[in-house]
Amino acid sequence: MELLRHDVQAATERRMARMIIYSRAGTTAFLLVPLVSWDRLALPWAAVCVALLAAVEAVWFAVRAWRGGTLHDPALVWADVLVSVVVMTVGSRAALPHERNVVLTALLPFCLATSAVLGFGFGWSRRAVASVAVLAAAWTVSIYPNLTQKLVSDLLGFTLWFLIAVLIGRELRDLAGQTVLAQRLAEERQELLAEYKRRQEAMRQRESAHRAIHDDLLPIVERVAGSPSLDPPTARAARRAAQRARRFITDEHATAFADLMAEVAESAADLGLELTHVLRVHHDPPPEVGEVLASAAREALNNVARHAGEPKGVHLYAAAADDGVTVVVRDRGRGLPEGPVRRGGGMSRSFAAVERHGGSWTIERPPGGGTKVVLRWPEGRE
Amino acid sequence: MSERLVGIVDDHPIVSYPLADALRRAGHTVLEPVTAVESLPKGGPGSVAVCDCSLPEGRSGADAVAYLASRGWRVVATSGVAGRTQVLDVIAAGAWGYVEKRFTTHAEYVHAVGLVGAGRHHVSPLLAALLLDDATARPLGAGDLSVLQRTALRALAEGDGPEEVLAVTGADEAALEAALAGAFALTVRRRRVNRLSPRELDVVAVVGCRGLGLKETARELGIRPGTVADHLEAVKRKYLASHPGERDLSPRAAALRWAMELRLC
Repeated sequence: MELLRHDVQAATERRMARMIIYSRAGTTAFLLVPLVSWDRLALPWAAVCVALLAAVEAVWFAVRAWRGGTLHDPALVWADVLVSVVVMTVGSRAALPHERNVVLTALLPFCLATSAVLGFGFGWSRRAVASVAVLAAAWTVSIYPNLTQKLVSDLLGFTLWFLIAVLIGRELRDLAGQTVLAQRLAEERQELLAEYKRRQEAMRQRESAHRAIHDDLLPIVERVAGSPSLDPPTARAARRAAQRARRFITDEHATAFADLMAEVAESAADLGLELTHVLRVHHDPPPEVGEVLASAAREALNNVARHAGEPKGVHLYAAAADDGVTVVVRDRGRGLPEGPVRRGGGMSRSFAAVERHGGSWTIERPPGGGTKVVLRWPEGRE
Repeated sequence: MSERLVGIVDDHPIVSYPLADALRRAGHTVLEPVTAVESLPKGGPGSVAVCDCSLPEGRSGADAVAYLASRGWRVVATSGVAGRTQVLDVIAAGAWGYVEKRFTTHAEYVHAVGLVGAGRHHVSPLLAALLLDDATARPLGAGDLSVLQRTALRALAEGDGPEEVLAVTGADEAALEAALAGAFALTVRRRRVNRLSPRELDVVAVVGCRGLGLKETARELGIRPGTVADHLEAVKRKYLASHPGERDLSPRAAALRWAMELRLC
């Protein structure tokens, strides 16, 4: 897209530069005209020098503007102004004072082209207007004392050539800018549309995959899992498969810790637990902390499976943000016997690891029955 | 438990008929399950509709919930496939509760229908977590979730039962219900804040669908180009605010996304 912008606008600049190169070269030929009446000139060699200088400058101007491809080149513009002033002041000396108008009429096209160079190169700016004024003043001085009505039209010529160049330059550049903008908008829109279609298609595919799993697969698998005639290992495998499918279709945020906790949730099926879970993982804890918390959660679920009795309903909650992690294992069974809760007992081995990593744990017996194991990292997090 | 009229809208008989049986056993008068919201008669006071979030026939999702609500039903939305956005959308459309579909037990449905029929909201652990996360993703500033609402939702997400939530919040039953109803209302407000104004919709239609530039759009709508640019900035801000997780994008891209999403083209 940047390339395109470059192309259209650079091409326009190049075209304008060439237009001026041709004018500069064409108007230089007029400088030979005074040499035709060699005998009537006061200083014919001055006319020759001026013509040579102008020719050299025209060649230099052409090469430089062609290579640069632009008139936005202060050196080019200033050099042209300088040569023009020299051409008019020195060239006018070639004629006798009362015939200067005749000689300068031949030089006029060359000098007017400088006005156009200013208009394209500097645009409507203070330095350009000042330069046009200098050209006009130098012209008046050069023609003196042969002042006639024609001077007014000459000066008007300098002004108009400058203004017309400014306006044409502006129009062409605007046009190029608009073309670039239109192309850019069209391309951007195309890209956005393509991206939107890709997203829609991806969403559609995802939805149909989810629908197939949810509508066709899950009911069967969960029915099978709940069937009393099934042997325990198969029932467990079915429950685990159902958990896995459910996890796939609800877009739970996939981070390492979320995956880890989802695995913990899946493993609950192996223990014969009827588990619901809520994962709110926005920011992962350090990996070793995540491992330790997951092990402790597993341990807590094991204990629920061993001690809580029927029903085996249990809820796992894990919230991880940038300020820490909370994991809750909540069952509504009989409640844990007193023994395993004691520190140093069998249960607290993985819980001790939580403490070693800067976390804490509590076990409560809420009024609604069952137990609530809460793991926090770092310690003291609410 | 008093007897109430219960309607079930679900396209899967494998789900809807066993659920109807379970609700009848719980003492409710249950209508024959239907597969589209349009097939359900008008509801009366205290009547509850259990409605699947994605229905292939007729209205679906938030539209379906809003339609049932306008016909006098209190809706318990349910789904096994809805992502968090869809769940929150049906809550914003006026659902009184959300139950995650499971095929092995109907206990949560029975509980939810009882609660909602009695004029209370059913907040499952998953829904509580979604409401909390929604507040983080689309904060409202002043008037957002109160401490009581946050504490209650947090306890519900952790799996606490009703009496435990009362204990941890120190509120009475009426205050807790009012807090939960308020939390539901906030999901509506979160979405309303980022709704486009009629003028912004005009700009979205012209810029998004027809791809015109600032000046042409300004001419088309009879406003200044600077105003169009301001509208586009607002359009982008609202898009990002109402689509959590979206990365930064250009105002024109936001206009196009809105145009597609709102089916303006």
